[in-house]
Amino acid sequence: MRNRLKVLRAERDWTQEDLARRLDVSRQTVIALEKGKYDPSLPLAFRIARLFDQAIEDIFFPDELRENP
Amino acid sequence: MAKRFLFLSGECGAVSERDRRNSRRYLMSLGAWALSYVGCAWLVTGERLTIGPVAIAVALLPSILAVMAVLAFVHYLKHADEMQRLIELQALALAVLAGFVIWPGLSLLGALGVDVDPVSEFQPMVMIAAYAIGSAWSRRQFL
Repeated sequence: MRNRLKVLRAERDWTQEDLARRLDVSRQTVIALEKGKYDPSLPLAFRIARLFDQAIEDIFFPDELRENP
Repeated sequence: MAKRFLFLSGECGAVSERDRRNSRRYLMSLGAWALSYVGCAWLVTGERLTIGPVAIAVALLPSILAVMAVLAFVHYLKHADEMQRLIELQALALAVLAGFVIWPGLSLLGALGVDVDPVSEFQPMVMIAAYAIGSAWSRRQFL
């Protein structure tokens, strides 16, 4: 699973620590999420979507959609 | 080189303060259990205590502290960051699996006459090693 988390965070000029605090997760989770190495639970995905005021599918997408949008 | 092995530390300055505090609590509980076990085993096996309420209380102390350590670990897992919880659960799964796998093998060696006591000697060590390997492997997978 890929995501636009890093871009969305950069747009708001937030550090990984800022984002981790806003989502109530550790910074290592934010790092793993941004690298696409960890897929969030559904509740966390909803928290992320709510935080960035976007739909989940606008933030997270399967690898094949990234290659052929 | 140091960066390559950063995942082993589990720190990276990235573990939340809550996880650090809760893990410290359960590690201290585990340490208290280990110390009490060693101390009580010394008292009981050396026949330094005569059978009675005090001896029974001393023999039960490690079990009580073990329950407290388990409760502290459950509390840590319950409140842990979700990725940290996944790392811990993967490490635990590997440790339990290693414990199951090693036991019959060592029992066969025992049946052949080799002087091994799988449960008291090797099984805990294998499980602890498997937990450490599982934890490092999981961290590397995500970080």
